[in-house]
Amino acid sequence: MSEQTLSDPIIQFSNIKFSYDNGQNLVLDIPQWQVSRRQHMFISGASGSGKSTLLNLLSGINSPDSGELLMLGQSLTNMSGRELDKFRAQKVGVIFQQLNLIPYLTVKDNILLAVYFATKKEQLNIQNKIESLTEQLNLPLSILSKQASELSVGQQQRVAIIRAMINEPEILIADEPTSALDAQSKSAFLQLLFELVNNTNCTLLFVSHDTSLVSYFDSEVTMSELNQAAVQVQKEQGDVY
Amino acid sequence: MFIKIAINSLISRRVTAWLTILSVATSLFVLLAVKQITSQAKTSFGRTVSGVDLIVGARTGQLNLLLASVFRIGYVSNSVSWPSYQAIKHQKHVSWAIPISLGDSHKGYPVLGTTTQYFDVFKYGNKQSLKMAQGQAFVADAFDSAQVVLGAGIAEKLGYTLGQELVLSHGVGVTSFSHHDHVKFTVSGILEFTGTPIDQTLHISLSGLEVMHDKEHAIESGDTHLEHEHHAHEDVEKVSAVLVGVKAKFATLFMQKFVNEYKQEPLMAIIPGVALTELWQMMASMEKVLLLISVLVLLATLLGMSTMLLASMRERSREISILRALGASPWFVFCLIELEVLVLTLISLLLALVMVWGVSIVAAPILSAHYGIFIDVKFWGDDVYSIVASVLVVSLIMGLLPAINAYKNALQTGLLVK
Repeated sequence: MSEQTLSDPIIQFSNIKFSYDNGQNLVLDIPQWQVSRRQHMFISGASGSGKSTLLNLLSGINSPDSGELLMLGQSLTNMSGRELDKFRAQKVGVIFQQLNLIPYLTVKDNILLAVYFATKKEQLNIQNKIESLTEQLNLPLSILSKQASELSVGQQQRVAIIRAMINEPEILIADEPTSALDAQSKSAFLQLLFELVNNTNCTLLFVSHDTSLVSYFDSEVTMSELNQAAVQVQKEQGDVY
Repeated sequence: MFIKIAINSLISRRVTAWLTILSVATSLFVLLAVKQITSQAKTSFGRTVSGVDLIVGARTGQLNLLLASVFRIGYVSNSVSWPSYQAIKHQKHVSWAIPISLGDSHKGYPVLGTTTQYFDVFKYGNKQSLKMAQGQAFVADAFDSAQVVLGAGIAEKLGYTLGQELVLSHGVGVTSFSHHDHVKFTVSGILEFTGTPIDQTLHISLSGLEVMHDKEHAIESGDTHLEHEHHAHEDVEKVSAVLVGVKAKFATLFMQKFVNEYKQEPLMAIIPGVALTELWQMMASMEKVLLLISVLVLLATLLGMSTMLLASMRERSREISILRALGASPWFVFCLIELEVLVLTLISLLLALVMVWGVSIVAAPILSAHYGIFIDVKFWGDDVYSIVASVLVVSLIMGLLPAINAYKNALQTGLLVK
């Protein structure tokens, strides 16, 4: 497995620097980082360690100030905004901590929204696909016609998995998706998530500060290892105090 | 999917959405109503008189004479003496001259004393002649049984039929207490509908009018009567105004000069078209003020809509970041807000048009009965196009504010709004 990961990098960071104010305060400084296909990567870090910024870079919402960011062999740094949006819609699935769904749309429309942005046209067997994913996630089919706002948090998170996986993305980004769940639903959620991810060729990036979950993953990285800027900030703060 | 999101988003905020629609619709209603009513009033005024080259009356403002003689709005305080009328009538350029007398009424509707020739030469609209729907013109010198020809509107409204007897009142107004109840008038004819104040007028002969007044006031008559060939008008002393038709167009100005310089009596002659133009100019400034006010009110409510959407942006930042995560471009978010503006404005426009239409249906009979203004009840008038188009453009411009805000929001906030 480890040999395969080295030979097939799906995400490659080299000398990535990012700031929100033209280089004044560096938020992210990643000299080298790489994730390989089918890897299940656990990313931990305290708040303010640059986690959010990292995810924004990975999904193409923000572009790095300098450095090379390759994903699936494509350079994100050279893409236009439109290309980045398309790339994200087709190749990246995202699950948030909570409130993943647009409350005034039905569950089905929330899922179809992802399809809409990825393809911009009707898919023939999309109904079957949605139904089979719904069943895989142990949700009743009747849930599809419900308003998203009527669902429990646990149900919403599972629908979020369906939506993130509907386009069969190459990369799935999950940002603390279990933090709003109780211990029992947490393990059920993770089980379902891994089942789905393993059935596809999906690479999983799982961001959390809950280190008890590390055992589920095949690799782990902390933001302080990854991000030199955070180390810098911590050092500076250490000097002051 | 795009439209579905916008509609569902509005439905999820239905209370604010409806309030916004109501306020925009109300201000649009004001704008449309002002525009519609002024343009219709113009058309209505313009079609009232045609084929009359000059209107002669005692000296007063030309608008005053025009409004009183043709539109039955206001009244002429002075009159034209019978000899003067005869003098004008016998001018060589004059084709016809019809005297009219005003000042009496029946249940609030004006009474016009004239000659039978009136029905032959008076024209309205696009030079259309008056036609009898039922019966015939009054007999000019029927002293014993005075006759009256009704406008179509009166016959319909009061349910009068041929042969019905009615009593006229002195002065104008519905609540006149001075009735000429010694003379009863019999309905001899009912005119066809014209869409002009004629529909609201009762026509009687000049002699009928005189007889009525003579009997009522028991004043002496016949002392000063003049010798002329129209025996029917022997005891008519004066009339309110004279409608004149000339033989050739060039004679209009000549006749106007003749009347204005008439030595025996201070008279004036107006050309209806010229007087109407003056009326339009007067109305135009008022119309402008009304339009300006309604446009400002509309702008204020559109600003209100923009404020409402802007205020909703805070609660919608979550929604925007979800859309972004799924691959929506900032441009999509921008268009989404503008689409919501469009939907709100379109519903408001529809509502406003329905309101104008409804109010026109209610107001049309009142306006025609009291002001002689005929408005055509139309759901979609000719000038609605330009209003609809400009309102949509302005609302989209107003929508730029929240839409740009959403665009920036979409660009700046990443995936993780917490």
